[in-house]
Amino acid sequence: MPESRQSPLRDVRSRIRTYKGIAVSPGIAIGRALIIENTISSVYRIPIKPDEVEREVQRFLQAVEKTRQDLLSLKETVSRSMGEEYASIFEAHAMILGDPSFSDNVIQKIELEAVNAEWAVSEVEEELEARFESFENEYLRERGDDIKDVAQSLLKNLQGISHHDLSEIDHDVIILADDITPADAVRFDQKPIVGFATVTGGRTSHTSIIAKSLFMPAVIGVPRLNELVDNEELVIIDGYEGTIIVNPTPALIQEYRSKVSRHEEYEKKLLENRDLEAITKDGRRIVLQANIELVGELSDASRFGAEGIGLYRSEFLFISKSPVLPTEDEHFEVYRQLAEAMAPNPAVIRTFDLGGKKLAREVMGSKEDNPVLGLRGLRLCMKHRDMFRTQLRGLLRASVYGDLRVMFPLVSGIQELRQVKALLREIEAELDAENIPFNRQLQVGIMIEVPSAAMIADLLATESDFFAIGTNDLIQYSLAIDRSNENVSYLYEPFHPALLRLIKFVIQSGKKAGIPVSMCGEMASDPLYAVALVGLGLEIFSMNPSAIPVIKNVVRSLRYKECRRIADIALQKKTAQEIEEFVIESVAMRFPEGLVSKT
Amino acid sequence: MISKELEIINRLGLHARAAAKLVQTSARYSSEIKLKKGDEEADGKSILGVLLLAAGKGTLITVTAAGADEQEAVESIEKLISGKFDESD
Repeated sequence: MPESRQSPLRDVRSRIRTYKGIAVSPGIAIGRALIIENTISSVYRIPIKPDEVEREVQRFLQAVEKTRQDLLSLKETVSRSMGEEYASIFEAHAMILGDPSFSDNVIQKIELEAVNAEWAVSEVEEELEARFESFENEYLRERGDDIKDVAQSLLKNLQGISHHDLSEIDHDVIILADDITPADAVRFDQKPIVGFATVTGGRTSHTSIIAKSLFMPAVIGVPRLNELVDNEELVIIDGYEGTIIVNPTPALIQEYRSKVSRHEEYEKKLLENRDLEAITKDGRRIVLQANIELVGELSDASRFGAEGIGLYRSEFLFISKSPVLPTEDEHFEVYRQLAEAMAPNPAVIRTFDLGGKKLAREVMGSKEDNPVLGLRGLRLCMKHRDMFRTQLRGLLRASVYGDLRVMFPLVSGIQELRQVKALLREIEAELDAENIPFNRQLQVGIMIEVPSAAMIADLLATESDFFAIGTNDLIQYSLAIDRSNENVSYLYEPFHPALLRLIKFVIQSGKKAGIPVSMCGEMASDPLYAVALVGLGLEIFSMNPSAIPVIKNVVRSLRYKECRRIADIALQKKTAQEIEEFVIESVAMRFPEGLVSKT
Repeated sequence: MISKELEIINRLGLHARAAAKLVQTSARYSSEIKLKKGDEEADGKSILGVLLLAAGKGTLITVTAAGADEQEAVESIEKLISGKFDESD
């Protein structure tokens, strides 16, 4: 991001610390750190007097009711944001809680042994878990976790009722946790909590889905967060940039406070361009589309003026239903909604991009030594053919409702493309036999994110209807860099000459074959890279919806001819650093006031 | 009283959500409903009981209902189990 290059954060005093994570839910939150331990505080066996038994039972029943309400309201929230099926687990938890064979046992224990409710609950929990652990079926054995979840929520409420409640805290709180469970999420949805950050969680994880559904500024995947920050320290969560600032100076706090209000004004101002075309001063038309993960984000896509969905990450559908697989009807329903909402603009569905680091064990089974080079993306789908067929059938059925397109991730060569197209044709024949309509001209495209695919883009272009360049993986594979590995992350250079050459070749190959080429990686949403990409001939950019107005303003201030000159000279440079310096310098010369910054 | 032997055919077996659906279905009927797996018996209206049967895919379950609506109860449960609890696999 160009603005972080001149960020005041660089000029820090030693007490200030900045940590980087993944931005999953936008916004700024400022508050005091409250570290949530993963385990609830130890439960002790405390004998109580006979005349206290009745009160203890009442306390237990109160906690049960409170927990049940929590679970049901969580079910509502999750149901609205992620769909009923995903929410039903909370209903199951509420049922477990209400099962007499659970509560009667606890009450019996309190009465017979004259002990505190916490102890009785954890005893009953242990007995139940022991029974689950004896199961032979591994998956069902793990259902003991459901019991544990329920008991933990209950214990937290029990302790809360007897001691204190978060709502008693009178200042804004930022929650720092190893991970957030669904049970935690409902507790976060209340007053003193203004934002949160977690250690666990990638962009594609349950944590990320929960974070999004809370609509609260959040940063996830911050390594060792719990050790690095102390309770009560002042923390800023920057949900736009994915950063956490601990112990900010008063000046910085002021800056962020005004950033919040400025952002609101800025967004309003940015949105004034909503109905304007993304067109350069010399008339080159650029198409700006949205990357989304949840159907709920469709409204954002329209609000920010997206001309279609350039990337729908369908694996979120998988993750949100896990461990149950989405049904054909569920696929159909989601894709139909996307197609209809975007029509006449396209909605590109990327089939499950699972594997690597983001995969539920239920599908994968065995662990791989090198998952990033293992069974993932299209390969995984072709191996788990039934799951893939279900998705493709749902997608084909929805294809009559608008300009729905299908895109396959992680294609490395023509053979893979032919195989998956043959599978598509098989499914089309099935649908024909069943008299189910589908779009016979369904556009079939591929992600260009493996270097081998980029290098044979000219060949792939003869058998593919469109390309989408996925820069995150393309950079990682081309440069052999895992960006999340702090030992090598400094080598993650989007401006590496090899990358620019690959991107240029892909764009040219598409152009020669007359097929559209888009980019849906993070590069596409950075104003600085956008200048170079426009110069390289890219015409379709797909990004997070909120980035669209910014890039549109950038595009509208550019001249294509100048961008081309910048790109040409950049391609002559020998290192990423030289290229970056050159592009920044050129941009600075042409835009003395700087490119439009985000806030 | 009527009984019927049914096979669990969904991939994940009687996990929490499937058990919840089964219990919700049972709860709609006034009949007493029992599920039996081998020697173990569970109350069809208790989610913990159903979960503790540990009925994975391929398990044979005997559903027994006794009461005014026993016929409908067993039919509904059969429909749920043979329909894989509306799961896709």
